[in-house]
Amino acid sequence: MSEKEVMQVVDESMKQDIEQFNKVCNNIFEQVSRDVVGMKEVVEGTIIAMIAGGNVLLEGVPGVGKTRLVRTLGRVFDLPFSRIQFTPDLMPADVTGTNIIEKDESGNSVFKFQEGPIFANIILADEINRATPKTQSALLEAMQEHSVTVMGTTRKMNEPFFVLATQNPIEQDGTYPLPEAQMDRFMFKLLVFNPGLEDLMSIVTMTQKTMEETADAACSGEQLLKMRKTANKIPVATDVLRYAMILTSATHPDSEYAAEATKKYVRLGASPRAGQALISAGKVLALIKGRFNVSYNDINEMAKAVLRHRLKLNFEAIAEGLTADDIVARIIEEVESKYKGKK
Amino acid sequence: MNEYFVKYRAKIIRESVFKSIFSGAVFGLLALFISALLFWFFGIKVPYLPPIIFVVVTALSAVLFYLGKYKVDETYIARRLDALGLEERMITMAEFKNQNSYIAVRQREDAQQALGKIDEKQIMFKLKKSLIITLSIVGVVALAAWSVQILSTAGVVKSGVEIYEDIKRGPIPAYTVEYDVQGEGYIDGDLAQVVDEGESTDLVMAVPDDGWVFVCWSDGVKSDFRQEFNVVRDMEIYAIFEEAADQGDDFLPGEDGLDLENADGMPMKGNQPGNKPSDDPGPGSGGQYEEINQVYDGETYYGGAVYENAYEEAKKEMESNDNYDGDIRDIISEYFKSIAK
Repeated sequence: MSEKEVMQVVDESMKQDIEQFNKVCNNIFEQVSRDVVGMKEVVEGTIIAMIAGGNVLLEGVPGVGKTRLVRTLGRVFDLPFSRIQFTPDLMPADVTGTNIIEKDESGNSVFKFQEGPIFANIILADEINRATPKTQSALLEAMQEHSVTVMGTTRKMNEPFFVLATQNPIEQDGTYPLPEAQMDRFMFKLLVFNPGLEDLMSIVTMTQKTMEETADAACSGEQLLKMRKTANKIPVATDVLRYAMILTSATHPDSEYAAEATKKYVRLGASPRAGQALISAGKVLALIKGRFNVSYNDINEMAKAVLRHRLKLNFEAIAEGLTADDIVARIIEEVESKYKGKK
Repeated sequence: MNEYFVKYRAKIIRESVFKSIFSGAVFGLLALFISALLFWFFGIKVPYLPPIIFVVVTALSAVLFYLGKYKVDETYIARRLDALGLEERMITMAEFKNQNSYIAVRQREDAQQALGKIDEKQIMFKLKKSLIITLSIVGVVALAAWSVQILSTAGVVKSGVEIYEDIKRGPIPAYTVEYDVQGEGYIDGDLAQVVDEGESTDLVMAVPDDGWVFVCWSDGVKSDFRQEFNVVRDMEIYAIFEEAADQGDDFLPGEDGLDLENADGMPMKGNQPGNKPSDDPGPGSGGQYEEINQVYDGETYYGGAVYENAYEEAKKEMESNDNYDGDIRDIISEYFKSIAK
């Protein structure tokens, strides 16, 4: 095959991948909406993160549908799904698995590794802040490296691998706030609010008929990996890349790009992972919107989800009752006015 | 240049030039303000120079702004078009123009399709609000400074150095100069004048009533006109009038004649012996006393034998020469009166 013919084949394959991306995306949203009412931003954010290959932390009061959403996604993506209910007495081995003694064929006792619930593709880590830091840290390696090391042996997770964690912002008694290192490993933190009146009526109407989850599989693991590869190819102009990195730097009080709000209210800013997350998520969002380039608005839309859990606010912010979202909004406003569309 | 950008290039260049000029004008106005301020302060009388400086600095700054900030190239045009809501399609297209991957080609197609919906008229020249405000403020301040410099050149306001000297000197005291009469007559002019130290009063004149003559001022000055110079204290000066005795006629031969001599052979008009003005006239008295002549404000007023001899000769001439008509005689007569001590 000549080079030209090879290029033609590659182009044709890419064309099919893009068409497939849009088709599968629409299907995913459609299927999810069959079981999950409202929560449009949360659903979109979770799907974007999963396509981009990131983990998601869902925070909301009990009963708003966090667990249902994750279970629905497990069905829609047709991937092995595992739920881990985090409790204070949960041990790391309960998550990762452990070696157990078994008798082999010849009757000898041998160690056999019993995989823990983490060995699935989609992990629902329910109420992650209720487990001890030791157990929480068992997730750390899996979330970042997609592997688990037990008794010196490293075992790889199956791809694609996601951790979708939930936490309750109200019950703080007996909880262990996630450390910064673990927080940083979540691509997005999405806030799940109480549904509005219309959504509430729809929820009750739907669940009065049946509590069964009716969403069908819309995307396989292989398709999801392909979608990730396709989205990764979306070009990012240098101006936009620079803007995203300035936005990340603007969260650091001692950076030359630090925003006024950062200098006043932020103790610690976002890590470089935030910059990576902004670009990865921006590419997926652009493709979902049918565009073949990342725009400033794509970055701004993803900024709150990417940054809100990565900023450490100081006492002044807490005293004034400001949330991370308020600070992020101010940072975006300042960075936009100074750097958007400029050399 | 990307063929799709050519259509918008001319308009964007015009826009860039205007933006450069307006931005440069801020610096030009600043230069106008600074130069006008400096020239005013140091009393340099060149009102035409600040506007020249304004024009030069504006031109130079505009060029620098164009080259540094508003230079129109492919990237600039792409950014300008993206600002119309194209979501960075143009800048991405410009940057990846040499890539031939499927996605790069699709991105270009998508960008060109979006660009097709943009009309050239949508590119509207807009100045930033902050630039307009800055230009207005700097403009008003600069023009005010230039106006002050012009007024200073015209002598309407003092220069900065002069004001500084005044401030250093402190507040200038003012004095009152009052005029009054002794006898029958009046003072033509401002009777009570307030002047700053070192300044001069307005001119006044002592006018006798009918049947009276002006003798002198209280400080001995003979001239009926007077003006105080370099006033350094409050002053009270009065004009002395006396009833007209037989002062003698003007130069009219055949009539009573002008009997201007007293018993000692000295003219009756004017200063009498023994009636010398004060030995110490003081500052502001307007003149100096001399026995024969009197020097006042640079002018000499005559008395004594020289004056009398000259006066006699003039009188004889008038009497003997028929060519001197009444008007001429009046003029000569007035002249002698005016220079009399």
